[in-house]
Parts: sequence; C-alpha cells; structure tokens
Amino acid sequence: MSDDPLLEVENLTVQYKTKEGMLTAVSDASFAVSEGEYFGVVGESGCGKSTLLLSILNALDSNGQVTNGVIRYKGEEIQDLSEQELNQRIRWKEIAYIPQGSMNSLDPLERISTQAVQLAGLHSDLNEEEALTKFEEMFEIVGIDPERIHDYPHQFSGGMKQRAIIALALFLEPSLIIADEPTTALDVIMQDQIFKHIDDIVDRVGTSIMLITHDIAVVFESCDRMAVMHGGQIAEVGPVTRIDNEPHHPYSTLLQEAFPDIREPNRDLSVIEGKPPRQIGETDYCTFVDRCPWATEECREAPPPLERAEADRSDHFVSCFRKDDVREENEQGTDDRKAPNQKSGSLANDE
Amino acid sequence: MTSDMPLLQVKNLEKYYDQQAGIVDWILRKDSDPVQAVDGVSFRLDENESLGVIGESGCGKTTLIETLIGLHEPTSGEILFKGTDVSTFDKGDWKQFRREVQMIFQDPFNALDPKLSVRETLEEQLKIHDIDERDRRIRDVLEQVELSPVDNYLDRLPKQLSGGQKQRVSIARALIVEPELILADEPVSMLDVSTQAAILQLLSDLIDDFGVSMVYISHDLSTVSYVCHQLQVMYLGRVVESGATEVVLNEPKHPYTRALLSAIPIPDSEAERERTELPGTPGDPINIGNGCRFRDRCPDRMELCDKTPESYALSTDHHVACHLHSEHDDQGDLNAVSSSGDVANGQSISAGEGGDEL
Ligand SMILES: Nc1ncnc2c1ncn2[C@@H]1O[C@H](COP(=O)(O)OP(=O)(O)OP(=O)(O)O)[C@@H](O)[C@H]1O
Ligand SMILES: Nc1ncnc2c1ncn2[C@@H]1O[C@H](COP(=O)(O)OP(=O)(O)O)[C@@H](O)[C@H]1O
Ligand code: SF4
Ligand code: SF4
Ligand SMILES: [Mg+2]
Ligand SMILES: [Mg+2]
Repeated sequence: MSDDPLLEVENLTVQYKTKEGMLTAVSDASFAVSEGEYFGVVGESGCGKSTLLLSILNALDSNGQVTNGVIRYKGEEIQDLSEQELNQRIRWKEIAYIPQGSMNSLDPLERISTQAVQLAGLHSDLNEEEALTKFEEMFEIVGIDPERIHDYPHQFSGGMKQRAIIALALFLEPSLIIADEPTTALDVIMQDQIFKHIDDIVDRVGTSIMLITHDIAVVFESCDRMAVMHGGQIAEVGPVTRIDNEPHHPYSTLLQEAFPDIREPNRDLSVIEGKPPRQIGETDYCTFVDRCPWATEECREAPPPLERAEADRSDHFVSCFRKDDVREENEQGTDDRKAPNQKSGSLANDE
Repeated sequence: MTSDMPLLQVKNLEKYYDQQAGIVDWILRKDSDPVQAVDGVSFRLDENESLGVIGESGCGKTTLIETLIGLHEPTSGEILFKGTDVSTFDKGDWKQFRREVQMIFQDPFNALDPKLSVRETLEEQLKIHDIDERDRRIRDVLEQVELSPVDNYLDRLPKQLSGGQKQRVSIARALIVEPELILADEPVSMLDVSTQAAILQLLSDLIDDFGVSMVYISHDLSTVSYVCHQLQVMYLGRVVESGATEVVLNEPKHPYTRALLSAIPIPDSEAERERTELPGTPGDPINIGNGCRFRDRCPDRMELCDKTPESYALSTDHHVACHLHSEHDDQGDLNAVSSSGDVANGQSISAGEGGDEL
C-alpha cells in the first residue's frame, strides 16, 4: 500500500430531485483511498452509501446530481467527464463496480464468457482469445473451475454468481474495485468464502477495494481504513484500528456497542433509537442530533466540520462538535450520557 | 417449567416435497425423487422456553416452522401440542391452535397489509379470533411492544413506520391474541443493527416476563444467545447438534456447528480469525441416500461417514450426530481415517461430558 491517493473525494454533496424538493443524500463528504488500500464504508440503510459510490462512478439515477465538490481519480477530476470518456478510460479498466444485489446483474441469456468478451471489447484492447485466457485466470483466483467460464448464470449457485461477478470486476485489472454490500444476502459461510477471495485479490493483485457494508465486523476484520456515515454525513474516517479502539464520534461508539459479538454472547447491546432524517434542502446541522446522547443546541445550528480527531494526527477525522468530550468519556468509562436505550425524546423525530 | 408435559413435542418429523415432475417425466411415468426438506426432526419445547433452529439457507428451517403451524401435512412423524397429536385435531381444535400459536416473519416490509393502519391491523386479528375489549387490548399491546405514546402510532400506515417499528407491529399482532407459542422466522435479519438489539430485547422479554414460548429461526448464531435457551443446528433437513445455548456456543462438537461459528466476523480490528476452510454450499436434499449429509464438505470426513451417524448424547443436554463422537460406535477404530487432527476424538468426548455442569 502506498500513500499516494488513488481516489480523493472533497466536500461532495449529492442531491436527488423529489416531489418534496431537493433531497440531500450525501452532504459535504470528504475522504481519500490510497493505492492498494482496502477501504470500508459503514452506515445503516439509507445513510447514503450507495449514492456516494454511484456519484464516484458517475452513475447516479437521472434525478440525482452532484451539486458540490470534487472527485479526483489519480489526480484527475472526473466528476464532469462525459459518458464516452468514462467508458473509454475509467469504467472497468480503472474502476470496477460490483453493484448491490449483484447476483442478479449477470445477463441470464448469455454465457458468462460471452459477457467477459463483450466487456473486453468495449473497454480494452484484448482480442477474444486473450480475453478468454485472462478470464480463466480470474476464475481460478475466485475459486471456480476455469472450465466453467462458458456456463450460463443459472448453472451457478448464488455464491458462485457472486464470485463470477468479482471475476468480471477483476478481469481488466482495475486499480480500484467498488463493492456495494457484496455478501449481504448470503449465509455466513458463503460470505466468509467470498471475503477470503477478496483478501486474496488484495494480497496478490494489489487492487484497492472500497467495500460498502452495514456490517462493522466485516470492516474491522478486513479493511485498512474506514469511513462511518450517518444521514449523508461522514461521521468519522480513519484507520480501522483507531475507529475500533478510539472512536471519537458518538455514532461510531454506539454502532460498536449495538453490534453483537459471538465471543461475548451475554453483553448488553445498545440501541440507537430513531433513524436518520430524510433531509430536504441543504443539511445545515448534525444529522445525528435527534439520536445522539451528547447532543446540545449547538448541534442544530450548523453541520459539524470534518476535522482532525487529534491535532497531531493527519489520518483520523471526525465531525462532531463534542468530539473531545466524547473521547474523554469513552476513556474514563464513566457514562453521564443518557442510557442509550432510554427513549426520551427520540421517538418524536422518528417519523 | 410448570408441568412435565411439554408445550410442543415433535417426534421424528419428516416433510418431503414432491418435485414438480416435468412433462417428460410424466410421459415416461418416471417418479422424481422427493426433496427431503425436513428429515427426522425431534425436539421438545417446554412452557416458557425458547428454542433456536439454526442453519444455512435451504436447510429446512422454514419448512419446519410451516409444518409446525399446519401449513403442510407432515410426510410422517408426530407433532404434539399440549400432549395432543395435531393430526387428531378437529375444526375447533385448529381454531384454538391458530390462536395459541402465532408467527412472526422475516420480512417486516412485506408482513403487514400496506392499506391497513396499525389499529386496523390489530383489530383484524382480534376479529378473526373473536376477542372483545379491542380498544383496551390494542393500547396495551402497543405499550408492551414500546410503540408509545400509543396515539402517535394508531393511525399510521406501514409506509409511515421504520423497519424496526414495522417489526414491532408484527410482534404486537402476534401478541395481542395472548399466544402460548410464537414461531419467529429470522425476525431480525432484515433490520439494521441499530434496531436489531431492541427487537431482540423485546423477544427475550416476552419469554421472561410474559410466559410465552418461542421457536426462533436464524442462520446467524451471533444473536441467538439473546433469545434462545436451547439450540438445534440443522443441515439438509436433519438436526446435527442440539443442546443448551451456552454449551453449543462454547463447546460446539459437530464440524458443521464449528464451521458456522468460525465464519462469523468478529467486530474487533485486532482479532485474528482464520477464514472458513469449508468448500461449497449445501446441495439439495434430493436423492442423497445414506451417510452423513455433511460429508462432502466436512474436513473430518472418515470412511465411516458413508453410514448415517446417529445422534449421540454427550451429556443429558448436548447431542451430536457425528461419527467423531460415537464413543460406543460398533464400527471400531475412529481415528483410522480421520483427515484432521484438530478434533481429537477422545478429548472432545470427555469435554462433552464436562459440559454436564453447565
Ligand atoms: N414448495 C416447495 N417445493 C419444492 N421444494 C421446496 C419447497 N419449499 C422448499 N423446498 C426445498 O426444501 C428445502 C428446504 O427449504 P426451506 O425453504 O425450508 O429452507 P430454509 O432453511 O428456510 O432456507 P432460507 O433460509 O433460504 O429460507 C430446499 O431444498 C428447498 O429448495
Ligand atoms: N433515485 C432516488 N430518488 C430519490 N431518493 C433517493 C434515490 N436513491 C436514493 N434515494 C435516497 O437517498 C438516501 C440514501 O440512499 P442510498 O444511497 O441508497 O443509501 P444506502 O445505500 O446507504 O442504503 C435515502 O434517503 C434514499 O431514500
Ligand atoms: S454531539 Fe452534536 S455534533 Fe456530535 S454527534 Fe452528537 S449531535 Fe452530532
Ligand atoms: S459424521 Fe463424518 S462427515 Fe459427518 S460431520 Fe461427522 S466426521 Fe464429518
Ligand atoms: Mg445501498
Ligand atoms: Mg427460510
């Protein structure tokens, strides 16, 4: 892994046009993914994870648009590139994408090898024979018998389809693979098999991976760095070990406390009442305010800026007005905040 | 436990589905082999107890629950509810049974009628079961599932509720008829972690504080300790391991249970968990003949495994169906063909006996 940023996102705001007005799905998000890095993005359903990465791929739904910010890939601004340029230069051969629910994204009427050859034709200079040889190697990497590249998708189980899609994503040797919830519909054993192959890819091929998931355990186990999102805002971004051991944002802290751990089957799980707001118009406050045990009036008056968690650390950022208090309390283990499962006030915002 | 008679007892239950025979089969008069979705399942559930049924997709969990509730005719075996075989039930008995046994489904997003408000959903349930004092009951049950202040929720439609709130309404609908047994099929698997904990707590309160019994189905062992007293792990229609929850979680003995446990990601950036070594997926339980159903994936497979393993008691409260633990198996030398050293047979059996104390 090198420190050169491969992907940089700066002050990104993404909105969808809706009947009620402009819905802000991502608000002022900033982070960077380095070369060879395994980067995780966690947050609950609706927090803007998919929107964030669709905007990186310039593949937002037609009613969505980037209203502010810059997306840089290998130093080049890509947010305004044309479809044609994206297809020729970026998609698949630089950035490959594994969509959410992707098990169903293979064309059922075409052999998988045919789909690979088509991709190669569109996005690379490989001829058919080269493409097939290459694709067989990819099947090897994801643990499927290379002879089966000529199968139709329906001949594969769900987990195999998922791996075939990972093989397609790897195929043109992209520098970055973005995977949106690649294992969410799968059982634990299948999930673990797939992550084993992804680990392999990171080790052997050196591709950067951006993994989107709601499962904080998967990110803690596998990734180098991570971002925690809440209600369209980046709550915290930094090395996985830091966010695990020294979280500064209340949401990062509570998310960990809510997550079951098979090693401690009797630990109390915390509850985060309510859900993130649906934000029409600009987000001009902290979107965690109605669920946050540390919230004060200040948190409603402006969005908290994403700042260094500690002055002497350039790799860990937090957006919380009270990050120092939160940190202190976490450290002392004292808990003068409200009990997390006390429902006072929070239900009112839970529309 | 208040009496010796279990609330629910299942003996050797089998549910085979006929495969949709294709037209060619029909012309050739060829019978297709049945799907052995549930194959010889037995357990007892006492009052105020909860049993977790665990396994991967396709292992027969949903079929089991649907057979228990009377949606399928069992292929063979017995289901005794309060001591009476349900196959002898008359119409009135079924009506009573359908009130006393309620279900909660996996998908809170589809379980509720989108046109009915919370009040109407609950009212409908009371009408079906001819229960009076509807208004009071509706209010009480909403308090109980913590949808309060009640007036805020009564007139909401499902689309105005979050996933967790919808699941609370599903639970309220089950609870309002004062059931004795709740069958819950993956009730938290579609919820975000932030709400999952609250629903787990609510389910466990029902058992501890309201005297309900529960069968809780899940493919995920990480939440069972919050709800289940007993566990039973299924693989392709059969129970491979069963016992008290903490015993099964702390001392898993079946290679499949071990695999399920070891595949769970650990929320700790420093934990060094090995990824699973298990290949493939469970196949379909069709025409699989004799032998251990796990044998094509099992790291500990031996020659003996071509014979179906019986269920062996490691203690009064811990059973496993695996030849590694067949202490008294007449096939003789167990270690001869074992491919893996990490489960030393003698050692695991004695550890199992130690499990008695738990
Ligand atoms: N109506 C049916 N007709 C034929 N086969 C069926 C039917 N329903 C289920 N099966 C088969 O029975 C087996 C058990 O299915 P079941 O739905 O009970 O599994 P499950 O554990 O609930 O899986 P999941 O977690 O995916 O829902 C599978 O092989 C399935 O394909
Ligand atoms: N095409 C769309 N039109 C309007 N709103 C949308 C659209 N797609 C997503 N949203 C909204 O944007 C927010 C973020 O959604 P999404 O990025 O899909 O979240 P996640 O992937 O974290 O579940 C949600 O409030 C969602 O309802
Ligand atoms: S303390 Fe304020 S700024 Fe920090 S997370 Fe809570 S609501 Fe947001
Ligand atoms: S009986 Fe044999 S194949 Fe089956 S789980 Fe035990 S060791 Fe493995
Ligand atoms: Mg999404
Ligand atoms: Mg099921």
